Amino acid sequence: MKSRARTKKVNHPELDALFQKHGYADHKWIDPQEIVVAQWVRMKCMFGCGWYGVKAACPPNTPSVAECERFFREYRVGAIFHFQKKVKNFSEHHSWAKKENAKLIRLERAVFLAGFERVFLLNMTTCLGCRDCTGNMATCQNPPLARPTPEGMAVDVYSTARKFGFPLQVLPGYAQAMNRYAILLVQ
Amino acid sequence: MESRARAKKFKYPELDDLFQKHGYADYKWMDPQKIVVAQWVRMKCMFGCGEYGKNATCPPNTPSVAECERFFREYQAAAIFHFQKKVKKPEARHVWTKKENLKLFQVEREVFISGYERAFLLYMDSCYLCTDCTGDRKTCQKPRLARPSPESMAVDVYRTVRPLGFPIQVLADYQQAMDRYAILLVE
Repeated sequence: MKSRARTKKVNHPELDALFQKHGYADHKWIDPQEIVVAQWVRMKCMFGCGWYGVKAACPPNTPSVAECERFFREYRVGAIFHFQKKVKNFSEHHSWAKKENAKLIRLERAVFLAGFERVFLLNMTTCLGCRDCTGNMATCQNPPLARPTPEGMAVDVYSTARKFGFPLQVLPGYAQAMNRYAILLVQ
Repeated sequence: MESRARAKKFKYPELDDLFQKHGYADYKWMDPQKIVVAQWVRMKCMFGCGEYGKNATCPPNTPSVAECERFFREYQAAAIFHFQKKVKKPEARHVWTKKENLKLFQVEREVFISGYERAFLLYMDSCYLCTDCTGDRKTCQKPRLARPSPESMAVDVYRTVRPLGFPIQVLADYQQAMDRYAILLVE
């Protein structure tokens, strides 16, 4: 598939080296202006998802769709990380996602310490850090580790990933491999 | 009655087959840009309806009118389903609409699975899936099944369906048959 949006030419060899050091190879630099934000994504959170109001890093604990849009427009450089995995059930998904999310948080911190003060990670799955999540960011038990997902921030991940030539489609069950995406907003 | 809005050509033969398989014949394809969104509809929810704040899929558990409008403008194709029924008393309506809404949910699910990631259904009546509704989206007992109605998403159902040639009018009593509408936003 031909990529419709050009991946951004970014000259941050120190960050490329950092990504590599943390074991990431399947990522692309992007212009955050190309991130597609949509109201329908928030509607899917509100109606149809069991985590709305239950997970502290999910809506309604994230900003309004208009505010999410503003947030992305404040960045000029971002990176999108691709993860592909086949799991047997939700339990397996849970332990894999928890591990990967924690690794990405360490990467965000390393980029922050490298001098990128506004670096912000959107994790590749819903925050699953605590078993007894309070469902409210104001009472979150692990605030330094909790981050929203791209979809929790109203990102149309389908349109955004496809723009950059990444695969994504609706899956009917666990027989096929998932494609998941994390977005690191850099500056 | 001649349809006042010229029918836009929608070619979804696989979805027509799917609707037919589920027993639906009385529906029309429509351009969601022509869904009329109005503040007066929300006012009718806020003042005059006993479900405001009591039903987890009704206002204030739905987005603002401006956000509802944005949501509809993100779609290019929708199907509107017509239901006509005469019931003897108000309670009988909910028994009927619960059954119909659950049937419609299966259609939304199959459309989604067939690759339309943003498929979203607006039920043909307020959600009555639970008799003891919490009245709050965050504590909904059936988050995967619950969907709002067109009117709770600020749709002026009267002005939306009439140009398509569908009947609807204010009814004075239970001697007359109701005309109700569900909207399936496809892509």
